[in-house]
Amino acid sequence: MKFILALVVVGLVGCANIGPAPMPIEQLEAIKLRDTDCKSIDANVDLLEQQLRLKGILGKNPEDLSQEDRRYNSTVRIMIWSLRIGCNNPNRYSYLDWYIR
Amino acid sequence: MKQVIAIGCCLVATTALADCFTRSNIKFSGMELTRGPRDFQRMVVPSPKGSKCILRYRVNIKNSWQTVEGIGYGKTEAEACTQAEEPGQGTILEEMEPRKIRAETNMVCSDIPEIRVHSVRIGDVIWESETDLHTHPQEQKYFTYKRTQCRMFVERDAKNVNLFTYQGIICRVDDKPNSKWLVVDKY
Repeated sequence: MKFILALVVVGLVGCANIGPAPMPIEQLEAIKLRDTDCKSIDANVDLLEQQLRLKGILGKNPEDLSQEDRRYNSTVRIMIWSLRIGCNNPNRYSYLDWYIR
Repeated sequence: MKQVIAIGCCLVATTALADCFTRSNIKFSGMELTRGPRDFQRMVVPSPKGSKCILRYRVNIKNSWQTVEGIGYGKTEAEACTQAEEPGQGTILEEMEPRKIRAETNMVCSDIPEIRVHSVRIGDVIWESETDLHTHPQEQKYFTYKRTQCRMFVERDAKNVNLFTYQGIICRVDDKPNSKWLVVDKY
């Protein structure tokens, strides 16, 4: 829930200017995914993909991106796949103490 | 005369397209495999015994994909290929480097398409062994996504002086045991 709230707040802040802006990478990197995020996995993945859409890099191959966009893209894609894999494959990440449990 | 030239050109083209390996005397049976036999390709030709089946498949040994070739003979195609599938029949094929060919080396050329690890793009349909396994053992495990078997891969790409390491996701295209895989994501 906190995760969605964080994304919504950042989205609204972006709207106050000229339109929605993608979330800064520093804030994305600070997000810690938890098993509670699995309850709303679809919404979370949609919101993360929206960040890539706003950046104009959704579905792009990393070779076609600048170094900055590649870093942003991989940060978001890792979060998306952590949710997709972790939520559907229990105990997959049990060896990590900082990931989905 | 034109026909002779045309046939000659075809022969040259066919020879040039054939992939060549050297057949080692390394039997793969008994080796500790990170991934068992995958991506089977076979070619059956007539032989004095009936059929000769040349079976190529890929095995992963210590995180490196290797091509194995097994040859079987039989009265029927099925019999020949069953024999070719036996682990004891398999020998590891090594990629040919002309300067390293030794006098006793047995060179093998075949029209069976060569499978090798290479750079892939999102949307490509590939054999599983065209991508390397993830470096982290835990991430080498298969997982389920949308009821499909998937796994992560890593790809190393050396550009100028920079070494980029990408990772990505491949998923089976269908439920068949020897199915190809779709590159679902890469980042």
